[in-house]
Amino acid sequence: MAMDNSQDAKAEAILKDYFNLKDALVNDDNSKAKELGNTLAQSLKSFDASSYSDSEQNELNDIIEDATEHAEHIGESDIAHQREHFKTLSKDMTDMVAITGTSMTIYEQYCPMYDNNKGGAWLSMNEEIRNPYFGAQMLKCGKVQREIN
Amino acid sequence: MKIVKIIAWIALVAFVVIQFFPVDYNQSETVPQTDFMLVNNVPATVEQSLQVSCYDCHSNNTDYPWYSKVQPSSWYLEHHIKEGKAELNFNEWGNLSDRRKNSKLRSIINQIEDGEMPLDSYTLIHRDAIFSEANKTAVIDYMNKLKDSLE
Ligand code: HEC
Repeated sequence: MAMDNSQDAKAEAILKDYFNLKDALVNDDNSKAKELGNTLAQSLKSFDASSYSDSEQNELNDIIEDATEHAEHIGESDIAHQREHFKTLSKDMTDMVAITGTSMTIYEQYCPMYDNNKGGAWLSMNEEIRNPYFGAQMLKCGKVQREIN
Repeated sequence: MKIVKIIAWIALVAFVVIQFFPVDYNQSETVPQTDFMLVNNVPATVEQSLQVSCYDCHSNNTDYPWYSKVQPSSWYLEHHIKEGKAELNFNEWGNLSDRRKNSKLRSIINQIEDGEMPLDSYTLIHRDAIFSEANKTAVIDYMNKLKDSLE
């Protein structure tokens, strides 16, 4: 885990943007999610992995590249597409936190019904379930799988 | 109706003139070692489907039919190839990390399931690029299998 504070601050900023984006999807708000997808893409681009070890840097750069592409797509898609990209983005964020660590308490949540019952996971700062994949259609589908921190 | 005649002439001249505008053709003689078909063990039917329906816009080699060499349709294709290759280039598959492959496979499956790819504006002319239900299922099943093997 990196000890450099400014580094962690960038990872925390990325997570906050991600949570805002998640909330827009919970609220079925397509245009807000577009806006927040672009905000997230900007934060991801300003991430700098240089204070991490070589192998962590490789992994982080890979994660950031992938996540940026998904965030950019969310910035220009309809809500069904936004949610498809959000699923892979959530995996990227989970893997990022595993390396950068975080000062926040985060819950990994999972709804088995999304994506034709293949399931979808996401991260949240609240223990209570608010589903970003279904929104109002099935707001409470899901359960906490894991607590990070 | 002199004015109509003038307009017709201008249109004709414009059509002839644009034929001389250079087009950056997307063509390559060699298939790199990193190509999707060389990296993976792809069944023949799936390979055929992808070559016909996707490779024109998602690889370094477009199979140009004659009419696509006539302007403005070559501009239209040039634009799509540039955008399409930026998203996904099957020729460079082997250069992707497992994470990126996984991500692309998910997108491919979603795009085909949602009927977004191949692009409608393309299948309008390239009737052979339209997926039959059987093609569609075969490609999606294969992509899912490949994805599971990466996870
Ligand atoms: C006429 C050219 C054309 C053909 C043919 C075509 N594509 Fe695309 N593709 C594009 C363009 C342009 C984009 C980028 C813009 C967009 O997403 O619509 C794209 C984007 C994509 C993406 C990324 C989309 C995302 O949201 O992640 C995938 C995956 C994809 N194509 C797969 C395919 C597959 C699989 C086929 C064959 C079944 C195919 N394409 C056929 C032009 C094409």
